[in-house]
Amino acid sequence: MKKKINPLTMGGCILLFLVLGAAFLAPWVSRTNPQAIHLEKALVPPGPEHLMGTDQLGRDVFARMLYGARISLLVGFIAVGLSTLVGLVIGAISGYFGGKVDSAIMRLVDIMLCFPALFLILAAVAFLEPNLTNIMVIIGLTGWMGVARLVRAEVLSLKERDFIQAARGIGASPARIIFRHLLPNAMGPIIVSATLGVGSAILIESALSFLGLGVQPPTPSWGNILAEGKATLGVAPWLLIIPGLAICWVVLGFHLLAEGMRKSWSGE
Amino acid sequence: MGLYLAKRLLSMIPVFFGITLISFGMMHLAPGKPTDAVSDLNVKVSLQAKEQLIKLYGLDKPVHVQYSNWLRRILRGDFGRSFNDGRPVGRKILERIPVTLLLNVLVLLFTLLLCIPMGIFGAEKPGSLFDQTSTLFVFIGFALPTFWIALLAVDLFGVRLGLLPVSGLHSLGADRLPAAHQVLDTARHLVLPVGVAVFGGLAGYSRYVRSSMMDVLRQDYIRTARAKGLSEGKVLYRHALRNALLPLITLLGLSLPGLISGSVIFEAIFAIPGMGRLFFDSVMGRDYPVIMGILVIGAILTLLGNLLADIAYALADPRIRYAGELS
Repeated sequence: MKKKINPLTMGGCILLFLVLGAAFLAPWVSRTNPQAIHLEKALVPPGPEHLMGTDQLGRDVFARMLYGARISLLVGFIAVGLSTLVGLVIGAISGYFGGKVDSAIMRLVDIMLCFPALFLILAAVAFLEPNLTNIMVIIGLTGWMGVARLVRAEVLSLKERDFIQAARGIGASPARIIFRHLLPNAMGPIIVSATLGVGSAILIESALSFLGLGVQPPTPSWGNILAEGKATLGVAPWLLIIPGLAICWVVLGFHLLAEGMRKSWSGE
Repeated sequence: MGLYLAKRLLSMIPVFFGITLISFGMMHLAPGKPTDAVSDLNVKVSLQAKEQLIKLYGLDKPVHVQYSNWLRRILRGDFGRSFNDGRPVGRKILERIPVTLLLNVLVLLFTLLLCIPMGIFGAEKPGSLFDQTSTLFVFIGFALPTFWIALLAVDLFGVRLGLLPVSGLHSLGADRLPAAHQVLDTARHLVLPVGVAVFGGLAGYSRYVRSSMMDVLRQDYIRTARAKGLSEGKVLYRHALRNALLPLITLLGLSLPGLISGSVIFEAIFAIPGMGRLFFDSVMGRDYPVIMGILVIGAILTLLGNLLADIAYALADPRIRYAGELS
């Protein structure tokens, strides 16, 4: 019997496929240089020549959105990759070894969660400098706590099961048990949470860029295109509306995908 | 209850020290010495500020001495002086807290007023038109950047329609108006920031109430209540609702850091002179003593908020109290 794909998963995939495809093929989708300034063609409304109009420097917004998508998605994927990796290792150690190690790690998680996320991120940006690498690393390293709790809970429920006892019985090392036996069986909820995380990371990057502390111009990201549109809201609303809708589109895509996967795994 | 409270308070002590350690660690993030980031990369901070920073944090001493000195000072409530205007950081932060608290309490209040009925209606008839519409609304609500909604709302209600003020908390010359008008004036200034923040948070909360309510409705005692012939209204509101709202207390506690985070964005957009705005200005101006102060105080506020939520939960749910005393 063929398994039916959840409609939510399908919808999420379609939304994401379009954006990922456009970002990946950016140079073929639009031949315009996203950095090329044409002051004589500033603030042209969307039309056949400029699909999404131009900004205050006469740059083509469609091209900027395409290249901005690369940056925004890159930030999302790298940041979440990092936070998932850290969360996996810390959560697995905590759950597997238990006892003092576990309570020390969980206390650290409690402490990290006391900090309002944006405070921690902005403070880090103030002490470092806001550039692409720093932004990805900072968002990643401030977002691992949820994953760690999730992994710990999964490991706790799995580690007393027979197949883990058997692995221990034949003398497998803790590292082998964790990485070869425990984590592969705990992947479902982790993938769902990582999928949601990519959406959140994109939202955080856009908020940072909006505050002027994210990816710095002239590199386009959806957040800083939106931030630049703020100044010309009265005369050129498309500069604000287009990047906002794009962020919403992508985050919605990740949420639908995550919800669809969660539903098909939990058998709803 | 007393024992539970004592245990809970004791458990906060290591967390407090953890908070100070992490905040202290943040300062040493800057490549090289913290003062390098201050002086070389940012012209706004003068040589004088650099010397002040070295003195304030004792940066010429070993790290553990720096930490213990700094810790001793913040335990006395001394966070140093702002680079910007030389005023004590503690006082600068304290005078900003009431505004941020007011904003967040209003947001929580209105969110609760709206999310509870929305959640109940959704749980009452799962799959109904209302339930499906609100599910759609939830998905879109999660995906919308709140600062974007805030800007669009400012443009629509403030600029285009001219209905509401879009920045600050008072109109020009409001201090000369009678007291009642002053309150009304501030209330008008709060409509947009509170409205947008409530809109942003509503999706998550109503979803939570809905799933909590559906869990409760599956319980045996609800079947008993229905079996003995109680009206659906009584079953829902007298038996189910109370238990379904219990987890909401925890959620409120957990959502505090998010609310405080959000105040940075809202206060920046609406020019509200709260703690978030102070933090944003300090980050922009690299005013390190203020950044450090707000980092510590923001985390302590969350810690206290969680304590309040736990106490409220223990008061509302005897199972927690007794479990705490037994273990």
